[in-house]
Amino acid sequence: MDKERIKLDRMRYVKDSGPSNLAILAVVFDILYFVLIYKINNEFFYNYSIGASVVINLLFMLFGFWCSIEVKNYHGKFGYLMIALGIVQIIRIFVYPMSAHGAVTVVDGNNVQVMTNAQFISSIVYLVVSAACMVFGGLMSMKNSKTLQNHLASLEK
Amino acid sequence: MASLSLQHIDKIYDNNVQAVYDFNIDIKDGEFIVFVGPSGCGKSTTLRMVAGLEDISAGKLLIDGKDCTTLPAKDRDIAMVFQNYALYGHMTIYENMAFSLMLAKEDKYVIHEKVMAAAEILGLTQVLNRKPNQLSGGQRQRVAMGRAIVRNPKVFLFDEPLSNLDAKLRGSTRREIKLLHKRLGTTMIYVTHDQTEALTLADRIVCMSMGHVQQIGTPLELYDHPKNLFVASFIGLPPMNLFSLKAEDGKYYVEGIETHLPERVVKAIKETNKKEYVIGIRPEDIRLGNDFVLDVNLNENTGHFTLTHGKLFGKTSVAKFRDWQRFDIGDQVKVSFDEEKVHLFDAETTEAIL
Repeated sequence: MDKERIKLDRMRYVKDSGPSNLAILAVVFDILYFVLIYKINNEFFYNYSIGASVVINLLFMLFGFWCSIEVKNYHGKFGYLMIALGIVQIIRIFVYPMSAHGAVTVVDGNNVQVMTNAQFISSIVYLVVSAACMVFGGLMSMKNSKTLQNHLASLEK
Repeated sequence: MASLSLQHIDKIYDNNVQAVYDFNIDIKDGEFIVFVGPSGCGKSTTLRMVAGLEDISAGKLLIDGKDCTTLPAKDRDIAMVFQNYALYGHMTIYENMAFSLMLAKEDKYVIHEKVMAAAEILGLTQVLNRKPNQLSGGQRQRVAMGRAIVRNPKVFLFDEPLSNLDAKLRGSTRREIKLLHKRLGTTMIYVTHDQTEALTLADRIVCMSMGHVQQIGTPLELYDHPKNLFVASFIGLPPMNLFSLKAEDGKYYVEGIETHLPERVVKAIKETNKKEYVIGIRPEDIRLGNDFVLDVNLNENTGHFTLTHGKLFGKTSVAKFRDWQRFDIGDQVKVSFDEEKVHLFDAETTEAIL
């Protein structure tokens, strides 16, 4: 058997760990992001939106883990969900980091910056990497599951 | 493939219990050797010493002429199949079979080819995506064998691999192991306490008792020419009937009953000139005739043969007759035996004379 053929045939028995690991990595970067946001010690974030943020983070982790498990078994439809989660992460860039960047809040009677430049850049990087992992993993999963389906169909023939 | 030489091997545990005494055998390349004996006779210990799982207390182990006595197990290029399969429950069958090669950092494409080839040989291609708990005992044992095959080892070791299977599955898996040996041609050492497995699988059998090798030979040699009383009583199903024999003043008493003995037995007695012997007759060498009386106390019909238990010379014995025999308890059946197949042993040394 040539290598290309073996590569295809291997997919029948080996888990699709690439997209699965990317989904986990996306969750890890999301965690880094919300740890960074929640540790900022001022009252800028402490309103109703923080509740929504917590819920979104929980849902992101839940769906992220779920996708990780499913794409491992070549369930290509979960690739779409991963892409959707990636888009959510991109949208989130324009919620906290962008609104907080350059904003000023009062702490102990003093005006202070909500986010330092370093914190702003870090939060953007975390969300972008998380989004990229999800989108790339989703595309990879869709491609791999399609390839496997075609291979199985050819074997049946 | 490899040849093995076990030279004066002893196994003495830390508490000074000796499990194996002076074990010697030269195993040829591609040979199928079976170690057989009752529980505790040292057969598994010997196998584990070959595998490198037990230290060799004394003696030498040569594999392909190379001294491997102190070589670690991982460097011996030997694969072992255990009675309890030892499969990883959380891995699929494919992953179980590929695992050792993955640890050896083998190329993933090579691993796939080897796993698929082994699965094809063992008929496991349809179950490669399943977990071990979704397979039958026979399939699990085949996976354990597959895991050994993919490594392409010099020697296969089997430690009572069929003991956990039911009788039917044991028969079919036994045949598969025999076919596997024919196909691979690899040197195999197989441990069992089941003499049927030993007789059907082996090129040569090593019969052991209490840590000592009793006899090494082909299945037919052990069956037809047992070296001593232990081998005679261990090999054969049902076991050989054994009767005490006394020679006094040219008269012969079997279990105290004066009996006429075959000419070749009489000649052997005269040559050895002892007083006490043991005479052995295999159940299948007893036939319906006119010489002796068998008092029937149990009749077991199995279809193609009948096992008749009863008293022969006043001693509990068993005869194996062809076809369906309708004896009742209390019947007195007249029997004879094949004179050429009577075995004679020295009662003192237990060694075979005839």
